[in-house]
Amino acid sequence: MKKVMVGNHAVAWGAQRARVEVIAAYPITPQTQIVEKLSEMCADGTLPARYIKVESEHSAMAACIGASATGARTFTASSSHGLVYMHEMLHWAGGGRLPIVMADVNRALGPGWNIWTDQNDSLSQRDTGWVQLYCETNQEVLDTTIQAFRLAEMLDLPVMLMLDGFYLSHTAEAVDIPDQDVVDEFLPPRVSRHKLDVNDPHAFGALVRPDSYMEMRWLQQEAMRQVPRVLETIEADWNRLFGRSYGAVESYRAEDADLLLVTTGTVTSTARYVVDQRRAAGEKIGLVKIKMFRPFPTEQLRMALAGVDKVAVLDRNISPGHGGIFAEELRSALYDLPNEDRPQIYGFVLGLGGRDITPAVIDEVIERTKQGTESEREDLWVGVNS
Amino acid sequence: MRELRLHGRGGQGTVIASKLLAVALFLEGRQVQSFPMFGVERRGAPVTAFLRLDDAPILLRCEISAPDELIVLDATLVGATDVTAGLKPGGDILINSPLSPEDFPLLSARFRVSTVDATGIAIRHGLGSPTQPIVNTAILGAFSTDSGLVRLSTVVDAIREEVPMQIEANIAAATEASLAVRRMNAPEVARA
Amino acid sequence: MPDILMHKTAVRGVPQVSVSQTSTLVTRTGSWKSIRPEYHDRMAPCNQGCPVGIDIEGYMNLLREGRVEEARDLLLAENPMPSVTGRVCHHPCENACNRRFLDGAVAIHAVERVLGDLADASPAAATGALPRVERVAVVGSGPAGLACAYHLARFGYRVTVFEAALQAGGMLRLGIPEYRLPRPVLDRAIARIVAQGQGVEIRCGARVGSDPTWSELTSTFNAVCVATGAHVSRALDVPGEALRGVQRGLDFLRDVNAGARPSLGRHVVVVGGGNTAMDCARAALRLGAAVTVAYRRTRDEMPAIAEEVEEALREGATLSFLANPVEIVGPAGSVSGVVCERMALGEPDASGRRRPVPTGERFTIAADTVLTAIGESAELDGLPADVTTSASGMRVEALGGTNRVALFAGGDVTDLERTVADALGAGKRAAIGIDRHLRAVANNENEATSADALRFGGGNVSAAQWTGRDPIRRVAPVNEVVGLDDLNLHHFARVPRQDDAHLSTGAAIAAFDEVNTGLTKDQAIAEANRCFNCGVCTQCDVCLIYCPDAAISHVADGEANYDVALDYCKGCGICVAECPRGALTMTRDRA
Repeated sequence: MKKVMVGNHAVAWGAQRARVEVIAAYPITPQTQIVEKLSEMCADGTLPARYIKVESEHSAMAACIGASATGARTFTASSSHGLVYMHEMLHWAGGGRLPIVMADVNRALGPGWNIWTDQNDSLSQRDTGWVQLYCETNQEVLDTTIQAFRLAEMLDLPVMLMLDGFYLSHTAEAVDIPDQDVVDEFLPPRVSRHKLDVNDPHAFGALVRPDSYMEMRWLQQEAMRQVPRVLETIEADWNRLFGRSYGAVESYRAEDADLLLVTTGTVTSTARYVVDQRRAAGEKIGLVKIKMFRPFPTEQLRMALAGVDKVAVLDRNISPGHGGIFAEELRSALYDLPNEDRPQIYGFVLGLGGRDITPAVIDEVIERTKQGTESEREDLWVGVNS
Repeated sequence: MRELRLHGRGGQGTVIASKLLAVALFLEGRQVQSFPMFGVERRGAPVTAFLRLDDAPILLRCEISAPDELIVLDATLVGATDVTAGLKPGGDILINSPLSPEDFPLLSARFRVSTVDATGIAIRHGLGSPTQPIVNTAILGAFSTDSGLVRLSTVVDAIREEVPMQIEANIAAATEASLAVRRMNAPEVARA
Repeated sequence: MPDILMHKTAVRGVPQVSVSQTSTLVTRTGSWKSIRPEYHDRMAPCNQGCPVGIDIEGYMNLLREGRVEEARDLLLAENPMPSVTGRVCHHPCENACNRRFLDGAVAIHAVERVLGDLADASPAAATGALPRVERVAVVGSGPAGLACAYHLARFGYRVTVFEAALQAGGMLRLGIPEYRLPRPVLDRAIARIVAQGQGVEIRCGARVGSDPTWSELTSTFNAVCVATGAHVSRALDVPGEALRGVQRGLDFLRDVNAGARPSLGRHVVVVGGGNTAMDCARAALRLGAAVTVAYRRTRDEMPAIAEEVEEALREGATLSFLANPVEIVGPAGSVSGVVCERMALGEPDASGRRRPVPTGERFTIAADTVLTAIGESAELDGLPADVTTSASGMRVEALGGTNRVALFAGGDVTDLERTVADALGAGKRAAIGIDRHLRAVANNENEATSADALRFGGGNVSAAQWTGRDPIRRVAPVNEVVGLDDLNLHHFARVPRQDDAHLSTGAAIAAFDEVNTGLTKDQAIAEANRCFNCGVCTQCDVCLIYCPDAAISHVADGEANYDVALDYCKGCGICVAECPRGALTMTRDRA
């Protein structure tokens, strides 16, 4: 069933189709229409889940942790400062290996107070042990919400999916809501390996001494290592049932390119438009979209980018004192490629705090990359006169 | 691809109008994308919404700065704000007003202007309150006639699908407005 | 779609999450404890404070759950006329309510009134045959007499009430003005008492002592209860009391309550600070007079119900404090003024109130009418000759017994507290005393049951407990009143007390319409939701939720509300500390 809907509602429908059992959320700013829609669904019976209102995002994640520990399929959503307020509990969910799924509407952090999109809210949570998936369209948002549960529950890892504030969250476009019975075939009920159960009580979260702590972290990292392979099988299965797939990394018109744009989120779509124009003009330009940021898809990116002359990374984020986060991680991933295969990498910082990224902005990125007169080591800002 | 911009005031249903139009166009098999002006919303304050439509998948995910057409839900915005900013020369403007297009000489010199008394129609059909009528469905009915981009019947289908209450009154308002559009008598301005 | 396990879940015996390998059930934390929690229902302060002996906490609990009819019936088990007490009682229950320390006492009187009006609107059908063959006479149809008759009828006796006046109700009808107690309300309450059980007959216009005589009564009936009240206004004992325009306040009220609208002149002075004084003042205001109340102490010492004082002030009465009338003056035989001596407060007297002492300063308050209301006494002359009395009334035992076998007494005629609520409680005690006596006679049992055994938590006696039909299950009750320190107020949100609706002052003093129009049923239920249920487990699950060892669980249907798994309860006391209402206590472990 196709419907025109905003990205926030696409998330809600994804959670509904995934048959989430518990939703805990803080209902006030910076909350989104996601939980508003879910609360309506809980109220009218469309979604027979327990909806827990809490007094803060920190508490929302704490409630999710408790619910997930009992074996319930658990969901929440937040944005910007709300997500950042969860930070401590995100570690607990990650370290507790709880397959919670969360949607984050990417919005900038203040001050200056700003409600528009960028990725600093979620990227500053990168070391909390959550899988991170960045979406490009409302359809991808809905599909990823459902897929995230299967990924999370297979590997006992929490999964965070991101959608750009306004560009997806408030933009309406046609989205296919998959049939429930097919989703049920794709996503079986959760079976938890460790469960808080009064009839079989165990102690959870007790002191872990130095002789065991590293093993637990090693196991967490081991599970993260499995994510690309597991996501691939999940996407193959989704493609079989619904005829759509996205990939942790996607190459677009990258064949024989000598310049590749590296993008995430909705910038990807506008960049596809620019790539199409450039290709039509005979230029060998393509793009590589990174959907999965954690775990970082090092292998896929080495395959996608090896041998290309120039790479321009579009970072809608900034690690102050370092640079664009995707560019930095990408440099690390490609560092030990043979010299002849290793591209020149230009890291552009743009679109912060919701500044519009138009085809003209992407054209500027391409032109500056082609010129190649700026430093590869520095973060190159677009649209800021300095 | 065509790009539309809608101007109204908070409470008139401007954002809903862009959504309704997107649904109607989607029902006709078009690719659509509709969104409000990114920012905060306040009742009574000027509100802007946007719509893209195309037969191919829409790749652009940025704001619309040079629309092909405008729908103005509140004539007091003309003059009070620069509603025609970025509008392509010769572009279409549909204004909610009991006046005729010639009464907007500054606009009709450069653009193709049409008017419809959507407020009067909305009040007659009891939509919103007399002081705060909800004019979005009426003006979409007028838009279907004026633009030829969308059929009245699919606007009606979209109303049935999306409007939560007073469905029949909204349909009646859209239908009445579709017959009440006033176009410019002047010869067509050359289109860009 | 079979998902195969694709990652390691343990390494070197360490699991991926910090979870104990064995069940925590192997750790018998119960072995650590030396003390443990026990559930004990205790006494709510409202219940203890109620002279009628109503299970207020119990009916609030039922009402909170929306069980309106059960709440009404529990109230009716102890109080024959809640629609009346809901309007006129001085509600010591509210003065004791622990909620007053948070956001205002529960408006118990208003809830009682709603339930009482509900009861009067649909009186229960008569139950048919009366199981007891004995007959009882009650002398006086005021609250004490009616309460005695009501409970005796509920116990299964046939009761005849003798009333000297032409209508039943005693001081409720003669003394309390209609704007506080509309007569239709009183009539409906009495009608319900008469209707219930078919056991009560009221004979009006029958003055015991002359017709019938006391000896006729004692020979005809198996037991007699004296509840003749206190109808004698105390005299001021100052010069000028015989002047025209000086009237006993009670006589004035009796006339007004009978429908008279006497002409009082411009200025009325009421002498006294009790409820009769307030009734006189407010009635006089309604007759168009300017009213000054002269009282020899200050507002803090006034025995009148605080709300009555406030109402009198709001309606325009002037209160003159520390004013002790020493002479009533007037030329030509009619009153023109009251000469008062200014008093000062000295040391506390026997009642605990500071004693007024004369200052020598004198002043005169202009008056066309003086109404005296400094207290009433019981008329003891007409009683059977050999009953024991004190200066202020008949002497009675805990269950109303006098020095004469089969003669009981209650209410204002005795030397106990003189309020409507106390009278209702005394009538009930006398009824229980009579029942105990007659059963003992019939079965040759001795009268061993003590009144104290019927006082759960030290409050008034309970008819429900006397009949063994208390519908409220009490968990291991202990006779302790729950104080503020026993509660955990963190579990209660602040919810303001709902105030009664009132007529506007202008409308109030224009006529004798009821001033306080009370609460709605929904408001009453909202008030019941404010009740802390002090000392009584409401199965709120706080103990269960807070127990760190999950040692507390529900019991399907047993003696207790919860089961404490003693193998795991380590005696930490968190459940006791968290219990919102003091229904849990720690005790030494018996194990």
